Amino acid sequence: MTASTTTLVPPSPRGLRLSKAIPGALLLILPSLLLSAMVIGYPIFDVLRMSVADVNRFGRVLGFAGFDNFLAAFTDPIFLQSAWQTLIWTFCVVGGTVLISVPIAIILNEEFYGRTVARTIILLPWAVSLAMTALVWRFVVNGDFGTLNTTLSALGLPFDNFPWLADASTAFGIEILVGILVSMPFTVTIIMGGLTAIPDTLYEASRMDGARGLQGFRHITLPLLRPFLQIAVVLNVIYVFNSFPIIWIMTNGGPANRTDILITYVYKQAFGFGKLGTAAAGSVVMFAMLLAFSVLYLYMTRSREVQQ
Amino acid sequence: MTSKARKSLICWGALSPIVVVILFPYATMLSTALKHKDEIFTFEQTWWPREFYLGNFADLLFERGFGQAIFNSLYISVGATLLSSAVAIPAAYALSRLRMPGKGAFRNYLLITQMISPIVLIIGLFRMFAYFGMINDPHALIIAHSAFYMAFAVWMLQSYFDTIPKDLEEAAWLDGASRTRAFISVFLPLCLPGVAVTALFTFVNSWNEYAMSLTMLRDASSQTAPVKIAFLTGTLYETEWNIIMAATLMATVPVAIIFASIQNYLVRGLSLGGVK
Amino acid sequence: MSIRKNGFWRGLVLGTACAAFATLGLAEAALAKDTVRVRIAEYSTNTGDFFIEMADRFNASQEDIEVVIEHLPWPEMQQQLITDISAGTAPDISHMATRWMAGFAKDGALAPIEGLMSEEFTDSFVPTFLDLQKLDGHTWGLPIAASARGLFYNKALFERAGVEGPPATWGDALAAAKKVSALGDDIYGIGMQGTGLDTEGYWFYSLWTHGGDIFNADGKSGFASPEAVAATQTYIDLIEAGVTQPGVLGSNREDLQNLFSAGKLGMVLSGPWLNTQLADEAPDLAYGISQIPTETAAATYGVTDTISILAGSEVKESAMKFLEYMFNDENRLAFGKLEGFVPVLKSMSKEPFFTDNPKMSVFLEMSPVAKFAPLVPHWEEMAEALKSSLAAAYGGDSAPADALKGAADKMNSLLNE
Repeated sequence: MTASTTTLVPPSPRGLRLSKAIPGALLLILPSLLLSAMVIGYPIFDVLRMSVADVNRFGRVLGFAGFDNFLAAFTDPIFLQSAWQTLIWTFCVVGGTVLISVPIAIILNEEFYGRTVARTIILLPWAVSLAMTALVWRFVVNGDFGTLNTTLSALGLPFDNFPWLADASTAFGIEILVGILVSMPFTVTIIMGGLTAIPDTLYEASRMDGARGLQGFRHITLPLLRPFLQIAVVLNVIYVFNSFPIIWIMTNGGPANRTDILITYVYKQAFGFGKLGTAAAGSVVMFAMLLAFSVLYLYMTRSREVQQ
Repeated sequence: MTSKARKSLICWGALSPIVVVILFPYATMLSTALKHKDEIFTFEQTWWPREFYLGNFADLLFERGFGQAIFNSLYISVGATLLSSAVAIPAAYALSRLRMPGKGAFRNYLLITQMISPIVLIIGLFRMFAYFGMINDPHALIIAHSAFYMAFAVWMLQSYFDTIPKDLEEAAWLDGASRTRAFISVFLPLCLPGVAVTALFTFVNSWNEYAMSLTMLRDASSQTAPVKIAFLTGTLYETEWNIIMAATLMATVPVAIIFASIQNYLVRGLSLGGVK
Repeated sequence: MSIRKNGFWRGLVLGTACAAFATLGLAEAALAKDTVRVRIAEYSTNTGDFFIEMADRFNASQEDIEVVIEHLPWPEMQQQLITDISAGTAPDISHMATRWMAGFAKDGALAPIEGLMSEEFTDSFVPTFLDLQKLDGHTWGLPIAASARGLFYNKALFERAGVEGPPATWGDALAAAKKVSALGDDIYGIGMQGTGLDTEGYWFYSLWTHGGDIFNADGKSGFASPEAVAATQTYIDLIEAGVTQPGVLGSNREDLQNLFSAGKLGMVLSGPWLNTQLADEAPDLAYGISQIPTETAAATYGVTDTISILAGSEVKESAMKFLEYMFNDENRLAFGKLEGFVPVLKSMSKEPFFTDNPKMSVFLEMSPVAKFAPLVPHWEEMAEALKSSLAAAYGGDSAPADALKGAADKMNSLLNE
């Protein structure tokens, strides 16, 4: 792998002598470039334009606003609070997802009875849209009628009528758990791919050297998994950071904005309060945060690799 | 006890907490979907329905056109999978096999297209498709989904293609096959597992997508399953949980079947490629 | 022979062509019909079908206008309307919450309709409800639905707890709630809403019955007035006495209705639609409805929804013809029966369905003391700030006066925008 720091994504091995046909290559890339530039390009332009414009609630540009929209966002304490909560949300969901996905993937990579069933079950949370998952979980954790409390009380635990979503910290905790649950299948799949790519001979060799169990994991599995983990982390951060339905449906950002994240804040500004300018500015800030993270993270993980 | 049996016990034991957490909402869906409406909010809650009521499923299929919604979802998801594969495979091939400038820039560009949530872009997207008169047109959604999910596909495919030895293609050329012919008869069959897994990712993402579908498909007959579920139940004063749960279960089934049947393929495909 | 034959064929072709042209002409006439797209938000699962059938009858009754109904759930309504207006694909007529109307009108999305309404039609509305659709000298819509709120109480629980009749004051309500709560761990005295749609409305009941108001006399926010603080304290007293359902901050309007429907809640403040739900889900529940408990004044929260003609419509007159049809006596009575709303037409006020049924008439009787949310452009954002402050006060995170001051400041700054 090259040590180039200008690209966000690790480039593939180069030095292919198969062809020098640059026009042909461009022709092959062109359809994908055009498709995304057209479909995503215009809306991004629209957001950028609105972020520096005075717009009405229907997106009609009334004039140039300079940085007023950004100022409006940054002087709103709820925006800052949401930004902080977004960091907590993203860190906990992605961290939790990676932490549980590695052992799950390792287990699923072993040979055991019913492995196909186990793999299918692990993938199941992925088979339902986020909005539906969130709705079902809202019902599950309902204090009086939810199946969680019904079950816990039947087991003799004192959770009869316990209102899970009434307190900001338990509500946020549950939302994070649901977030982990739905991010897990994707992550497990990626890590499993990485695991099967590790030749068994490597383990056998290290066993001969006297390494076992955890040591094998630390010295062989983890280093080889690093590129896979790196991708899983970057993509999960992007998806979780922008994830809307779980929080929107379960708590709507409440109580008292204490579970609001940036995306729910932006949505409320745009469609609830008719402040498209502030919403657009917020979106631009979100984009900048993600971009900064990706560059920084990939730079950091890459330089470590180079040192090795 | 054989060692494999013992190992199986340990594996299942270790997985059991997460399996319980995953299956719990499904049990809830099943229990609620089998209850009559007036049994959902009662003084004493029970898991077991008083009587097994299949009316919710019948209601969904025959009265509320949920079958149509499932069909629309399938049409759009399959369409998006085909279109995104059609543009992603050549791009990934070029990235993996051909020499060209700006490969890194192109990959960065793809990553950046993933960084803005569709929810933020909704108004712009809607204005654009309205300009082309494509509101209510499932093809608008096929195009939009492809554009958003293509980046990941290019990415996965490229790293998969990188793992396929070049000697085979080169051998084919030496035998006098054209580049295109070598691509089709030698390269493509080899990378089918990777293509299939990538296609599955796109399919699932498209199947589950809500915000764009909600905005772009206004007509009741063109709605996708996730939107239909929200529309069936989002009245002002009450939520029909029995219907929601039945609908969610039904929407899960096709995807779950795909997961189960593509299982081994899935791991094999990823294991050769994965994301490098 | 051939000539004759040719003549025959020629005649046939000519005849067919004539017929075809005639048909085309007819088709053209049909195309000249005005198409009126009408968007309806759903109160219940029956709302969509109700308006589709109404449109079918209207379409069959005349030749010039073709009405097409689009219906969707309330939670998706606002976003879709905004995206539609921004892209120029909005319908001709749209249903909306009256609280959105001021902002929509200010940004030029709605058509003033006073000029399209005949005097007779204008005169058929109960003035209070029509006046609520007016702003800056124009009428921006018609009151498609109106409701007042009352105190629903569970008669069986009251009897078991030894409470005689519904409480008249907030003091009585606390006493009654204590007795009902004492019946068991799963039974709660009174419902308290802490989250979701209309949380601020639940607080207005208390605000107004304590003599407070949304605006002070000086035109500034009344959210932090002494009356508002007292009103909040009344609710906090209920919460701290442990006579509400647990987890107030996680309970939305629907949660409370479900608790009441399951027979777990002694009292809840709600509107006439709850009658429809209870008839459906808990037909055996014995309950009564009374006025909202008072402290210094009798009051209820009157809420209307609006149906407007959009500024971008090119068929405004035809749209108004359909609205006139929608608001005839027969259709309004059917709508009232379907969704359980309070009548907005003068002629309906004496209709037995509304006057003879005690579960409907109680809302009619409260109409004179009804108060309404104000028509100001940033109302949604003010309400959101209020909700956050209420959550902080109910949860004990800050003193009611401090929490409310935050909402009042926010409202005052939004009034200046």
